[in-house]
Amino acid sequence: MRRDLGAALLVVTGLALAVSTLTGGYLDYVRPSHRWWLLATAVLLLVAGAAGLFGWARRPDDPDGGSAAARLPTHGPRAVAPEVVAAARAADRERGHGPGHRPAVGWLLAVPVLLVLLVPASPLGSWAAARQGTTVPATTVPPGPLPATGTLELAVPDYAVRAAYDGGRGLADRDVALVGFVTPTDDGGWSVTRTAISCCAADARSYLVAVDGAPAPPRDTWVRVVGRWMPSSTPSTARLRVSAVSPVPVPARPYVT
Amino acid sequence: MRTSAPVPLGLLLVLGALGLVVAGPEVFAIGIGSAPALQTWSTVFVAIVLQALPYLALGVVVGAVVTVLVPDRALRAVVPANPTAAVPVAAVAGAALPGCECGSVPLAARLVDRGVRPSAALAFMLSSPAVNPVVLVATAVAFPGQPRMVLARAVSSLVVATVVGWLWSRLGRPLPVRRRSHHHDGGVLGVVTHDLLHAGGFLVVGAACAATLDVAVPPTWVGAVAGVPVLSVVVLGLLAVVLAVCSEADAFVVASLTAFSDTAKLAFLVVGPAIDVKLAAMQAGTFGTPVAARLGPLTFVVAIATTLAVGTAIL
Repeated sequence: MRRDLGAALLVVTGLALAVSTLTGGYLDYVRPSHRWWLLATAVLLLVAGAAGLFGWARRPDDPDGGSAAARLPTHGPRAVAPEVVAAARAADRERGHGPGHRPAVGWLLAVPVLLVLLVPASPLGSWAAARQGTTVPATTVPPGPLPATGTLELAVPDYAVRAAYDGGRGLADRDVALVGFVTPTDDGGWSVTRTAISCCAADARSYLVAVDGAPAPPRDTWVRVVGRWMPSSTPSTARLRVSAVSPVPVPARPYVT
Repeated sequence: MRTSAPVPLGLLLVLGALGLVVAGPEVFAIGIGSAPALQTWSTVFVAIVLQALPYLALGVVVGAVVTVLVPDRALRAVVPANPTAAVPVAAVAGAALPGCECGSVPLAARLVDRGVRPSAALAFMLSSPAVNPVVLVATAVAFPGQPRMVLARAVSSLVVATVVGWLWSRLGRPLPVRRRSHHHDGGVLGVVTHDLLHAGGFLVVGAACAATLDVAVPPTWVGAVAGVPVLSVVVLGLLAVVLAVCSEADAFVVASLTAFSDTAKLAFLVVGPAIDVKLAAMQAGTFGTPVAARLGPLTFVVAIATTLAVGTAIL
């Protein structure tokens, strides 16, 4: 890879990171707190790339360069005279060698960059969730206390944990509201679904709450459901008998962290 | 000759990308939306790259600083001259580099360039993603009420790093050393640029492999062996290789596999940070395919054996 193209590729990669972070697109891929890491990396890529592009740090010998001057020892007991180095650098320039080339494998960075810049992001949806099945929550640790009155606005994973813990008795006779996307099930029913991540979409876990009492909205639409806890035939599956289903916009943070 | 009449292709590339940024993805709306598998692949692939790039950059910057700025004297003072002692010291020193595994590969390569013994550099590379404080705290959060899991993870990963380092110094082939580093007048930014493009390219290869396996391997296959003693340990070790989850998140993933024994879960935590498809791609790119083809299987076997021993003793 030509040296200036390598530098330009770093600038473009830094741009893609910055745009993804500043527009919130990164939330479809990684956890919100990764933002600062991404911005710092974007700055590093932009600085390193710009330095290469505009020659701020141009020296005749950087790693893996084809330069003769670079191979001359300049310190230590076998150091050569400065005139010799200068002559070697002049020779390098003659042969068009001076600055080294960049590893060609770096071009592959263009693939994720183009995906970020050209393809509208989509968070993991019902296809991934249906494949993975619901995550079985650990039931050994008691969930925190619930508000005493009013409709309980719970995250889907939180509801799944509470429904599994002590058979959901803590939820009995309470109105519960959940927000998630629609995953149809094989038997014609559907689940309100949320994906949890720790770092990025590669470590996603799906939480599905089976819904009773309402026809299935279209796959992958985001809905808010209000209903009551109901016992489930299998202890690892949370169920909700719903009284209201309303469409909602896709949340800015599609994943629970 | 481009030095006499350079075509400003680099600037054109940047300007073209700026045009894409201003237009925004909605303008192009390249349609992969109709195929959910492809869409999932794309999301997982980009997610792994975005997740790993900052850690890779951290490792590259630390490696560049070591290459250019740290004097030989200082490096010799830190790494013991005795080869047998240097390996465990390097493994414990791994605790100092926070973050995931992607940064440790380019850093290890730069340590080798600087004359650090390959076995010690490998021990550092294998231990640092697993025993740094960020990862151990994440493990404690993922396994509430099970501090033994954290202890078992730290002990196993240190043992794996040390044993693989020692075995490599006996059996392994030498690692390639690039140009002598004390002539790096190219400066920190020159080394950073080179290593970002090099390691970044191989990260993309690894992320593509991991995303492909993620979409292609049905998750239900794994659950079938949950109850089988040794086989379940090997299978969760293989799952760690295939999924290439970063070491800060792997504890949360494996904690949800409740059907498996704690020792099997430990295998996932010990194997993943040391070797997975993404790391194998980066190691092949950095040290060459012959080295990676030996190092990967060696690491896997030592990790499984260590998991079985430590799991029996501690869990």
